[in-house]
Amino acid sequence: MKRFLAALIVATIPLTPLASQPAPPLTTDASAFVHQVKVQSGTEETRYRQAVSPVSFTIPMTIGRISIESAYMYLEAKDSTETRDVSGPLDTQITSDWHLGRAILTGYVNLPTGSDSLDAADAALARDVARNDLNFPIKSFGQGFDYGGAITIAHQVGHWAISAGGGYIIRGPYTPFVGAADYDPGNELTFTAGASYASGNWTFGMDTSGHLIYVDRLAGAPVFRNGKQIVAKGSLKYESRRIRLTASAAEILRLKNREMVDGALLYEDRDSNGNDFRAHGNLSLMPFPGITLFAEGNFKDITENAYDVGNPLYQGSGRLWTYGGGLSIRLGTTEALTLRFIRGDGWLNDRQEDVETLNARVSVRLFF
Amino acid sequence: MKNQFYIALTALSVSCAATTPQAPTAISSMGTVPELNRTEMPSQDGGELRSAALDYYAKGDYVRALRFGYWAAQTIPTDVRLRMLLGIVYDGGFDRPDLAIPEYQRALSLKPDKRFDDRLRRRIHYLNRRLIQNTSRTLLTTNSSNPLSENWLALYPLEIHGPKSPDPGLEIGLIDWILPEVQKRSPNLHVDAFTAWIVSQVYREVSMVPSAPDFARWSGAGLVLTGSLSDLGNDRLRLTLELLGPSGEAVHVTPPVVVNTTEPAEAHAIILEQAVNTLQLLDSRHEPEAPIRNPVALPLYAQGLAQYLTGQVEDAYANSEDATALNPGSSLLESRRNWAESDMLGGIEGGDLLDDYHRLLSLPDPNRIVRDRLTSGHSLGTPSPNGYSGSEIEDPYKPPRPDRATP
Repeated sequence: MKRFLAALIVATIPLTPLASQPAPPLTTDASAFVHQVKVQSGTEETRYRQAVSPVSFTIPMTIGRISIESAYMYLEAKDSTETRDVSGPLDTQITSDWHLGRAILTGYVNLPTGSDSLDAADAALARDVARNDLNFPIKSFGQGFDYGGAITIAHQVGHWAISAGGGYIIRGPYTPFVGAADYDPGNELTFTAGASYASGNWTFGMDTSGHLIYVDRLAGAPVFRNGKQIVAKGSLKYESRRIRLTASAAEILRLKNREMVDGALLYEDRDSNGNDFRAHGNLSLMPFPGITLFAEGNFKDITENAYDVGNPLYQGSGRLWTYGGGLSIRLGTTEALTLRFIRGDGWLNDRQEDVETLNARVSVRLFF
Repeated sequence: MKNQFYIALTALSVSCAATTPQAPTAISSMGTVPELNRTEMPSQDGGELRSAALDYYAKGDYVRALRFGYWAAQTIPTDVRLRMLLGIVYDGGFDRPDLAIPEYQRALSLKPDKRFDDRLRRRIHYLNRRLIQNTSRTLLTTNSSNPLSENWLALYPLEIHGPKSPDPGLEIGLIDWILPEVQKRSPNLHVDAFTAWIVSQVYREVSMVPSAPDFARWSGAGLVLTGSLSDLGNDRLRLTLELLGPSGEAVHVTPPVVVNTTEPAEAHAIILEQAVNTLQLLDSRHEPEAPIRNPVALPLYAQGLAQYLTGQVEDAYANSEDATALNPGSSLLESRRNWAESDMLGGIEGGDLLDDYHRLLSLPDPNRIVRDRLTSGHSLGTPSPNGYSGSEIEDPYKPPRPDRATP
């Protein structure tokens, strides 16, 4: 472990200054977004609303940058009988990226400034928002003191570019809710590999990754191990002076979890994780210098898990489409304003519930 | 799903085809290089100028391509596509080797693609030979002089005396084969055999009454190495070496020596000794090794060199190749064979170079493709991206599971 930390520290030091690269400006982003999801089951409607105000600060370095981000979040759930809410700060994340020509290095630290030790009601609301069949941008108030890093290297051969990389994150203990003190989530290891083919302004890419999540512990005793994840992703990109088009499709295979049974961590009988299919498209137009118009669409498909209907562990399929757009305006040389509005439709639990989403975001970026 | 996939694939293919630059098969006969006001830089940035240059090239407007390419290359001097564009238009379009060679050389230094290396080197060699010839011819016809003013030593073939003629080319070869040793023993003085032989050949072709003293006066070199040669029969040659000063006066004349061409190593040693005395060269610490030891290779080499200088490049290559095969391992023979080969191939490679350039144009910008690949790959491996941007992250969230009852 000490070796890894030493390597990480070394990795975050700029090794070879690239004097020819102009340094990006120092930036501060202040933004706010509201994400609303309405879930309708028969005549019963529940409206979830998430309002977040992130602040970020980016410091450019010779060959990279350091970003510090944090936010405050308000969550609300309203149905025909009651309105529940919870609010608090989120974790602060410090990320450093170093671009070394044919390699990128990232160092990552999560400072646990977010709310924890939630009471039962708040924890239940937080769990609703974290559901994978919904699409909330923020899934939790926070975790423990986490740190890690990642490296990716790439090489070009004619029209092709190939890459390989890996990342590791060490998760620190925290108390997600009252009664779960000293909960220590498993560390995470990721391997990636990919290739791109480019011709003219077009680039086609294929990426894969394998994600291993180690054992979760409570007060030192193993309690759970999340299933491995395998991601296969295809992407398409067109880039010219005035138009930028990106599209991607990813299949996320989620394998069986392991749970404590009679004092041993055993694979669950059936895979309780459904698989995800995600697709994303974005078209940006730059008709004039300083103005960018964009439109985007997202598609998310969650398959049912392997349990039979009626089983308490059964989780139905779901599907969400979102679509919208916005604009970004550079105001002078020191400010930029971005406005975005996205709405969405879909269904959950094998079409038994309908869902509608709205997302509105405003962001101001200051350049120094 | 299948249909959507095929539609997307077709759209992608059509789009790729639409963005591929057109491929002219030849760029030629465009007259003189257009005037360019080099002090008035357009207001666009380097990237826009480069795009404009490549767009004009794809449309076949080579004059505008050249103009924008020139400006773009001032801003982005390390873009190999721009250097190649300028080189190709100067070379094929305007027949200006003097302008094309520097662009090709810069392109070569940027290591564009392994396929380019040999082809570019040969083209540069061919254009360089043409440039030296053109410059020398122009100087002679305009009564100007001093084409070799930067050379310490110029070369002029031995004058043949007597009723019998030695094997063709020996009047050049018997000087040429001692040059590697001369260069070794005079490291601080400039001896450029290639330029010196080409210039003296042009002089002999153009001058009304060519002579070594007149060449010495015209060439502007510090000294001219020449002499005389007689065929005594039975493979024996009598030879004197003569060193002429810049005014054409004889600075030094060696006493005649007789060499036997069936003993090339011995003949080389005798002639080299004469040259060392004539040129007052340093003594060698090591016994010099004769570059040619095979008696059959010597006349083939000499004839090949003479043919090369008179433009019979294919015959020159054939004889040089035979000489090299008979006398393997000689760097002198390989060098002279490479002259002929580079000229022979470099002269016909304009079209192939153009094809290679079009392949280069269709290659992605290495900075962009590597950057995109890194970004794409890294996004999957980076630890825990958050949703602070307001969009859901792609990685499914793993909720805390402190006990089995937790959903």
